[in-house]
Amino acid sequence: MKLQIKVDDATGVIVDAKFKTFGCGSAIASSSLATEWVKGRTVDQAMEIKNTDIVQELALPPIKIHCSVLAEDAIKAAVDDYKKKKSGSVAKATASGKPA
Amino acid sequence: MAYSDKVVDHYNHPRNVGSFAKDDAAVGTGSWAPLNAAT
Repeated sequence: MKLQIKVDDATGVIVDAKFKTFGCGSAIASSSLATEWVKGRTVDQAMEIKNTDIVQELALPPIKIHCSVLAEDAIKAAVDDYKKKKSGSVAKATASGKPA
Repeated sequence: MAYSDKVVDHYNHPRNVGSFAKDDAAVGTGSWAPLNAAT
């Protein structure tokens, strides 16, 4: 499962999202839904999406809960990656070339 | 066990399939094995 977000640097709003998932129907549906939900949210709002929201929306059975957990984790990992990149570029700009 | 209509709909018509350039500063990537190895 890979989930990517594209963020407007000025506003912190997720303007676009893409995913690639090789997995069961529930994993594909969870990540597909996740990309729909994060669009238009700020990165902080995206962090508030819970796997239980996905479970409820898709009516996932208990045995498929982990698919929604993967999707929630993928959102969080994508946001973390974006924030890390952003703070990295800020650090680079202010730390006179020293690696962070 | 049956998948709900919404799961089937997303499965048949997945939204937002694809990828962005991973190195783009405006892009955040979250991924899980085994896809990590492939991309």
